[in-house]
Amino acid sequence: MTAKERRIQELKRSVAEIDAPEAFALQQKGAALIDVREADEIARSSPQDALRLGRGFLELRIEESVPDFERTVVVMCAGGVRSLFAAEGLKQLGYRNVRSLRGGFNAWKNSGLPVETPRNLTAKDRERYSRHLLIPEVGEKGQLKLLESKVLFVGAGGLGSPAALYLAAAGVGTIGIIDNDVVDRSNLQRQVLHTDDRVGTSKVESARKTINGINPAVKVIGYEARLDESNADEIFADFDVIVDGSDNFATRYTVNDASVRLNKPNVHGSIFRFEGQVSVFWPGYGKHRGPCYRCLYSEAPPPELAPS
Amino acid sequence: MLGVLPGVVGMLEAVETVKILLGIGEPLVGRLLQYDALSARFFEMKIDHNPDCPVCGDGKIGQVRAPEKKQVQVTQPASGGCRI
Repeated sequence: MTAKERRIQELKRSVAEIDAPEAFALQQKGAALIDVREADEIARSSPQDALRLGRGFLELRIEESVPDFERTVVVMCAGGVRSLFAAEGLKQLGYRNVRSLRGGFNAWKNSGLPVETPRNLTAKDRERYSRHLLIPEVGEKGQLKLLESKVLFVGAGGLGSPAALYLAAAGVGTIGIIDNDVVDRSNLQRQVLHTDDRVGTSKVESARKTINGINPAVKVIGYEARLDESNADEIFADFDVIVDGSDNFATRYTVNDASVRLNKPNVHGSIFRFEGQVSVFWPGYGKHRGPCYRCLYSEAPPPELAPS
Repeated sequence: MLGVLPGVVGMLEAVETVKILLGIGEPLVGRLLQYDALSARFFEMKIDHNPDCPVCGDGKIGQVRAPEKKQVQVTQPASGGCRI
């Protein structure tokens, strides 16, 4: 018997092994399932909602993910051997309910249990978003969230321009823009998405070029249309957040009403002379229900009162 | 209109959006943040949910319906009609 075989025999005596269906049942009841395979193995497929900590840094990182030493921890590798070593390491660290998945990920798959292909940041993403990755409030998890997010800009004008530029730079994965206007030279004093050589061309297309110039990975969905009650719900449905940069009351009410109906956060901004206003209208947020735009201004003022 | 002003307001909108997407911090819900460029001051106003609101009033959230014509005007919008 080799030293390796001897050690595995010892571990099989000291570490509790369980089968895949039992591991799944424990996970459903709140146990942490930890995939300790190498990154390239995990990248292909991994059990749904597993913690992918890797064998190398397991002992150094687990406490952040599983602070409760009483919580049941199921360790999993490809075939059930590496997880024995990992499980022993966790026991020594102080985890009291550690199991090793017998047969590893192969057994998990063969039992027909749920798997997913985890999305990871590419090397280029890591470089581009390195400053985000350094902040714990964003980190890899947050950056992946941003990459999977969809934000709709109503208007590619003075408010939408800077907001869309920065959100594209921040890595918001999908940016929708609805605007039916063309670039006018008088827009360029503040609508920083557009350029002098695009005067007379579609604002949506101009925005697409600028956004993809900054961040080619951003998917830009353009709607060369005017937002109204007939199309708002359909367009809004696909997005996580609506950024209102519209320039007229009718559109603001349309944005508000559709956002409330679909329970989407409506990030509102407006400008008058030297004054700006910002709020988030999101009555569906939290326990203390916040207002919507109509709670503030139930009806649009007559057009003659609207400054221009 | 001062061309740099929408830059400030648009950026505040962008920050709120990122916070919402990440689920961090305290979103600007129930508060209206006003920025006066000339005095270089920010003001914050608490704004409340209106239970009689024609769109989000009690029991109305999530219902697809046309807003009723009802006068519960608080004040006129301070802004909004200018070309942004």
